[in-house]
Order: sequence, then structure tokens, then C-alpha cells
Amino acid sequence: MTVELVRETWPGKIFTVTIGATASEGGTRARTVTVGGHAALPFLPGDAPSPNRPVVAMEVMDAVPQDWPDALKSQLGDVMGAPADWARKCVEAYGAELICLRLNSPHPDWKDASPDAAVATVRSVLEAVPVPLIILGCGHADKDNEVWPRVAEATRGERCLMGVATPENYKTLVVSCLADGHLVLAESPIDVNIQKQLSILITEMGISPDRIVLHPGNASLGYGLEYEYSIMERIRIAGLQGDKMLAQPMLTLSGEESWKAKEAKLPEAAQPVWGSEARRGPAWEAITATSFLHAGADILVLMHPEAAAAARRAIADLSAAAATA
Amino acid sequence: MPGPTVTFQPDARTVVAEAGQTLLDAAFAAGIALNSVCGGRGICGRCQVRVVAGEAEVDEGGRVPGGGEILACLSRISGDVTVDVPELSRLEGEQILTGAERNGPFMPIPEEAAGERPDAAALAPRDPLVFALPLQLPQPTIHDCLSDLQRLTRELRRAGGIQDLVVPLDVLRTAPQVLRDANWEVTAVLARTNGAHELVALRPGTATSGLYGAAVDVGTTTIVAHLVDLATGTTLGAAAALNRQATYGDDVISRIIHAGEPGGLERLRDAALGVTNVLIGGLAQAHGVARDDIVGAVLAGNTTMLHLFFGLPPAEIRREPYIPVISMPPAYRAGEVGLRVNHHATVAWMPGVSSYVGGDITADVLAAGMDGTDELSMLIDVGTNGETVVGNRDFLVCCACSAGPAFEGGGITWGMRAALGAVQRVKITPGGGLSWSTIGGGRPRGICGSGLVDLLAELLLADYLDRAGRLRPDAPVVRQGPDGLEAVVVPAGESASGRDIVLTSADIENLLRAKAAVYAGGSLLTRRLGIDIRDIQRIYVAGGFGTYLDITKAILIGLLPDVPVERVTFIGNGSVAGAKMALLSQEAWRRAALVAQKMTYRELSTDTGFMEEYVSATFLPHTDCARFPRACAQLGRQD
Repeated sequence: MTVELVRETWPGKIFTVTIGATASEGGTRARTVTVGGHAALPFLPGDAPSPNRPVVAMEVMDAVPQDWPDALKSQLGDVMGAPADWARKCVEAYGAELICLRLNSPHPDWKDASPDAAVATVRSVLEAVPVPLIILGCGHADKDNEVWPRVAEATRGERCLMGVATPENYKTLVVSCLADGHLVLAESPIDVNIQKQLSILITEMGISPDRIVLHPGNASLGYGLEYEYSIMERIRIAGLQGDKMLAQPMLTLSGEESWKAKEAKLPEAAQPVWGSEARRGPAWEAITATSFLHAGADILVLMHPEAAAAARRAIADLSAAAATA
Repeated sequence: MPGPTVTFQPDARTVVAEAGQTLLDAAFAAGIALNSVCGGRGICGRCQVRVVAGEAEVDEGGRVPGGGEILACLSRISGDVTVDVPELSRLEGEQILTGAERNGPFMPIPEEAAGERPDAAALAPRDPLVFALPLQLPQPTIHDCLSDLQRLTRELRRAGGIQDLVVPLDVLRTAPQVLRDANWEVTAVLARTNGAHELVALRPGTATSGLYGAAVDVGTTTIVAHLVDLATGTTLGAAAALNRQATYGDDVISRIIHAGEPGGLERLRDAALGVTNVLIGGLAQAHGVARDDIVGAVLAGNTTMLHLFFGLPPAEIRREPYIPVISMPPAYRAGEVGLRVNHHATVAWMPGVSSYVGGDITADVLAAGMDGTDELSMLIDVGTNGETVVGNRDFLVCCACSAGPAFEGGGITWGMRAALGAVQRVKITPGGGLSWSTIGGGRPRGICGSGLVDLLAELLLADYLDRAGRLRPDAPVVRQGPDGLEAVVVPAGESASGRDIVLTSADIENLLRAKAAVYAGGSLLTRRLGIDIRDIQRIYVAGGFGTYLDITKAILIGLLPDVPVERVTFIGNGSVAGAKMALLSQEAWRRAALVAQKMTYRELSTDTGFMEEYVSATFLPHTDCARFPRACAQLGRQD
């Protein structure tokens, strides 16, 4: 007896968003990355196949926290402090499809770096890699509002994904992205309603809904993963049901979040039964990220090269399985 | 030895205190209403005073950094002390009255603001709870030698068919004199309560006029009293004052907590009782009515207010399984309750449903007439507890969700209740500025609920406010204030106080939360009942907003569901209106009891859907435009 697969069709469709611009499109990227465009939930054999697979971005920081885990330092220690080299290594050695550049140093509590310095960092990374850029601020609202317009202007036409816009601080970022042709990364605190409200606020400023990527909060394995998973799933279902304010591709910062977990970074010496942190850390990161794939994540931002490789394998396997049905 | 004295300036009011008492309590005893949102726990920092002479013992955390001010709630009296109370530390910048002030300027309120529904009294036949029965008693003779009491009972049975007379001992004590002085022509003042007739008073002569009653809404935030002529049903006057319990916390939960502290329950009882006595006394004086002629009172309020007013321990109300001492109290005599009217006056409290749905809601339903029609209707009480009732003649279901006092003006910088001088209409002028009008037409003293609704809607329509409730820094009338952006509603030159009347970002956030709680309650209740909001044929809105409420604007900000405006009826203060109906009609009183019995309470605080509904409602008008098609169209949005 054969099992008849349930096939589901949806009235709505997820927006297709292209990050990066080639020379002919007004930028300098060798290639662009397109995400979204889904007409069904991810990886379901028989449902409408997705035109765009999820992608793996790797995170590069202009300043690394002092207590950065050894497991990451051992992989990336040689490029710490040199964002352009770090980005190049991620693309060339680890196959990153996008670079997610986090500008920590302008934060008043870090280095209080000037907007000029931030612009210089962004330029150096742009020159070092051919892939599109995601650019994140330091999280200090006033400082971000100084840095964003400068960075947006310096990268005009590159169609970077810039973030994060929050309900408390979105206007300057949106205006900058509107003016200089970038995309907005909109972050909510793991809440479907607030995510939608933010999309409304952002689009009310005149940016079209296909220039937004959603970041529905931060969670990792053991630290709210299920919560974020269910919110992402609800966002995606709402989008497929036709809610245009929730029909955007989604991004997760799984690398950053996973390495906050003590289970990811505690040395084996401190907890022998947990085994080697060199394997445990990347595994924590990979499990977090691949879980979100099932909820509809389109862009996974990862840190450890092994986690990135594992996520890419998962994407390939899941996509192949869905396609064979 | 008398205790230390505390003098408050600039009021020059002195009280004798006990050593160790806090300045906050002393201020209260002196009739000075200090602002205290946290209930005297040293958290809110609003009760700042300055010692002018003498000393107070200041507990840790009681000194305000960078100034000479101390927190009254954390400062204990150790000896004679004089303190200065700055304007900002006072509740609403006005004095609240104590019984000591005989000619106190209590706040008269316009009839409509108090919930005087023109047709409300007409809904029930007039048959007051306390009524007068003139009697012509045969003089005793050697052949008709019944006792005074038997003579009275016999006549009452004959003249009024009354079989179940109860005569309190001290009324009986006065009877022989009254009967003989009046030559056996007397009027029995009778109350029909607790399943019997009680003799409230025996008056000489056969005049049935000159009997009065009080209808009182004992709200968490505001107390409203009406003085009513029981013979004609006419309302002589209405007055309102802040519920002085507010000094011990804004909401019922903090009051219940305070009641558990030593002396707390007595303080809370005295506070509500004191305000009610001042209001009734002030009305009586203003209308030339003797307190002794006020022979009945019907009060309405939530179950916590009922407990505090009667001095009943409310602790179990907030503990699972939420059991009140009473929800449908019997009638008591004014003397026992502490109400300063005729000692024997009947004091009845509108029957309530549960710990979280009280007699104020029964009164609302009565005033709206929901229980008498086949129409499926919804009642929304935009008060501190945000109750919603759905139903008709056959069923009534209600819920409550803490909305806070924002629409009564509480927690809003320039908020005030609906009283003379309150801004209640606001419009954006073609020039981009704001125009307004006040209740009574005088200089603005603050903004009442309907003014706040108008203001939010107008700011939103003019795009001075985004849909998350954030002011646009570049909009006209918006400026940077001491605590972020604020909108200037009335410039200093035109206000009563000579200061700018503003709406701050924090005020807007409070209003947004309040309206979200109210909407979420009603929305979730209908969802759980499987009713589509579009099937509701009538929506009654109760609350002390003002003398009017612009329904379209209330919908535009998402306070009320987006139904055609003609389906919405604003009934004002339904609580006092319902209490008055019950005071004037035994039939209405019986209906109130049936309403309370029929009403099912649906607990929303444990419903997992509530937070979801609430968060989606903290947006203007709502996150989901499909639920507010007309409002969103007016804003030019279709998300």
C-alpha cells in the first residue's frame, strides 16, 4: 500500500530578497545571494519546491569580546583584529556565501570608535571579499544612529542587509537604507505581533516589504530554541497565509547565541563528562542553526567553520530529500 | 502625654501623630493627599517632602539624591516636625477633602459625566428601596389597649399589607414620644431589604416627601456620589473625588497587600468611607438636605472595594482559589457601616459575581438594560479593572483584565477625571496646532478620558504619532521634554495652572497598554465564546471618560472593536446609574440580583491566548488591520 503524501497549497508567498549588487546592478559584488520566494513550508516533499535554498553566512567582528571561547580562537585566532582577513578566510577557506560584519567597536563601552573608523572597516571588508555583506551595528542606539548613515552612504548601491532595526530604534536605519539602496534587518524579541508591528512601522516609512529580512529574536539550544522555533514557524505560516508584513525571509544569528551557552564553551577539564569542547561547541552551534532551518530560516549566521560546514551539509541533504519526492 | 505634632506647609495643617508613624500616614491623617503610586513602599519616589523645622528618622533609601527632599513613606516621626509639601508630590495637585472641612470645595461634576442616562430611571418602575408610608393610628383606649409596637404593626399590616416588620430597638425607643406628639399621625419610613421590612424611622405627620437617598460608585480610582430625592426620583446633585485609597497603591492588588499590614485595612476603610462621607455631606449641604433625611444608600463597586468599604479582610481575593468573604452582601444599617447619614438608613451594595467581577458590573448591566433584551450585546467598562460582559436576556458572561486607571486620568501626567476644567475634546487645526474644549468651558486644568481618546486619535490621524505610539520629533506641537518627547496640548498661557499641559511619551505608553488590555479582554472573551464580534448587535461603553465620547475615535485608537458606530452606546458611569436605579426601584434591585446570579465569570489571566491578544493590541489601532477595516482605511492603511 502506498502512502499518499498530503500536499498543501498556500494563498501567500514569501518575498524574494536579493542581497548584494553586481557591477551591472550598481554595486561591486562578484555574486549576489537570493533568498525567499517560498510558496510552502520548507523541505516538504510534494509541496511547491522552493526556488531558493537557505544560505550560510559567517560572522566577522571588528572587535572580539575578551572572553571569546578558546574553541573559536583556535580556528580564527590568526585573523582576530583583522576583519578583512577574517572575511577573506571565511569565504575562501570555509565557503561562506555571505559575510555578516558586526561593528562592535563603535560601542561607547567597547572602543567608542568613530563612524569614520567603522566606514574604513566596512570598506576594507568589501574590498577583501566578492560576496554580499550583512552589516550589524553595536546595539547602542545613539551610536548606531551616528554610524548607520555613514556606513550606508559609503556602501551605496551595494544592497547590503543592514541591522538591526528594533521597535525602539528603526527610523535612522530605515531612512539610511532607503536613501542608499540597502535592505533592512528587522529584529523582534521573539514575538510574532511585535515582529509584524515592526514591519508595519518600517514599511510606513516608505520602504517596500521586499526589502526587509526578519530576525525573530535570539535563542539557542537549551536557551529558548523551542520558543524561537515556534515563533519563526508562526511567522512563516502567517506569511504563507497572505500576511505581507510577515512574508519576509528570516535570518538567525545562531553562532553568536550558541556560544553564549556554557554547554558550548566550558572546557572539558571543568566538566569531563561533557567531552571535548572543540567538538561540543561547534555541535551546539550546528544543532541550533539546523533546527531553525526546519522552522523556515533562510540565512544562518554562524561562527565556527565546522558548524558552517555541518549546516551546509544539512541544507544540501534536506533540499535533496525534498526534491526526490 | 500627647504625641509629637507634624505640621504640613504651605497648608499650615497640624496633626498629632504617634512616634514611629510615617510622614505619609501623618499627611493622610491631616487630609493632605500625597502622591504614592507604590502604596508607601519607597519604590515610586513620588511622595517627596522637605523638612523645614525639626527632624524625621529617614529609613535607608528615603533620601532623594541630589536634594534635600525625603520620601514621606520612608520617614518616621520621632518628634515635632514641620515639612513642606511641594505641588508635585500632591495627588492631582489638589487637596482631597477630609470631614474636618465643612465648606470644602468638593468637585461638582456635570450630570452626564456622572452617568446620568436620561432614560435610565425610566427603565424601571419607581418603587424605591426605602419608602414612606403615612399612617393614621387609632388612639389607644381601654378597649383597644395594644402596645405601641403592636398598634404600629397592626396598622402597617392594614395600610400597607406589611407582615414582616422588623423594628430596631433604638427606633422603638423613640416611638412612644413621636406617636403621642404627632397625635398618632405618623409616617413610617420603611426599607425593603433582606427579605423583610425594616422600620428606618418614624416621623411625625403624614408628609411623604423629604426623604433622600445616595447612589455611590466606589471606584478603585474615583468615588462618585449622587443625591436623589426618593419621592420624585430627581437627582439633586452629583460629586466626585479621588478614592483616597490611591495613596496606598493604584490597583486592587496593591490595596489588598496593604490591607494585610498592621492597621492597613482600617486605613483603607477610613479612606474610602471618609471620601464618601465628604461627598454625601457636601451634596447634602449644597442642596439643603439634613443628613438625617438621607435614609438609604446603594453603593456599587468591585469586590475588593466592597471588602475594604465594609472592613472585611480581602486577602483571599488574590489567592487561589480567589474566594471573597462576600460578593452579594445583605443590607446593613448606616451606623454599622460608618456612613454618616441617618443612623438607621439602609446601606446596600450592588450584588457582585466573583472576586474579580463586582457590583459595579451588575450596575453597568442594569443601566445598559442588557439583561432585558434578546439583542446580543457587549458591555465594556473602561475602568481600572477593564471588565467586559457579553450576553442578553438568556445568558451573561464576563471577564476582567487589569487596564489601570489611565482613562480616568490616573498615571497620566496631566490626566484628571471628568470634572470642570477637564479638556475633553481635542482637534488638530488646519494650521497643524491643537484646539480643545473643556467641560464647563473654563481654563483647562488637565485632560480627562475622552480628551485623551481624542488626543491620541488626532495625533495619529495627523501622523504626529506612529502606530506604535511614538511621537515624531519633527511634528508640530511635539518637543523634547525632561523625559523624552512630549506633545504640548495647552500652552502655559491658556491653562489654569499657568503651566504647559502636555502628553508625554510615557503617558502614551500607559494609554496604549490600557486600551490594549480592554480590547484584548473583549476580543478574547468573544473568541472563547465562539462569537464573531460582527454578530454583536450593540456595544455599551461605560466609564468616567467625560460628558461625551467620540466613538469613531475610540475605535480609531483600537479601544473599541471596529463595528459600525451606530451600534455603540456610551452610557457614562453605568455603575452609579445602575446603583441609582436599584435605589429607586425594588424591581431593579431584584433584577440586579438575578443579573449577578446569571453572570458567568471567565478567568482570562490563566488563558494562554491573553498575552497574544494583548501584545497584538498594543498598536494603533491594532497589529491586525483585518480586525479594524474602517479604522485602517481612515488611516490609509491596509496591511
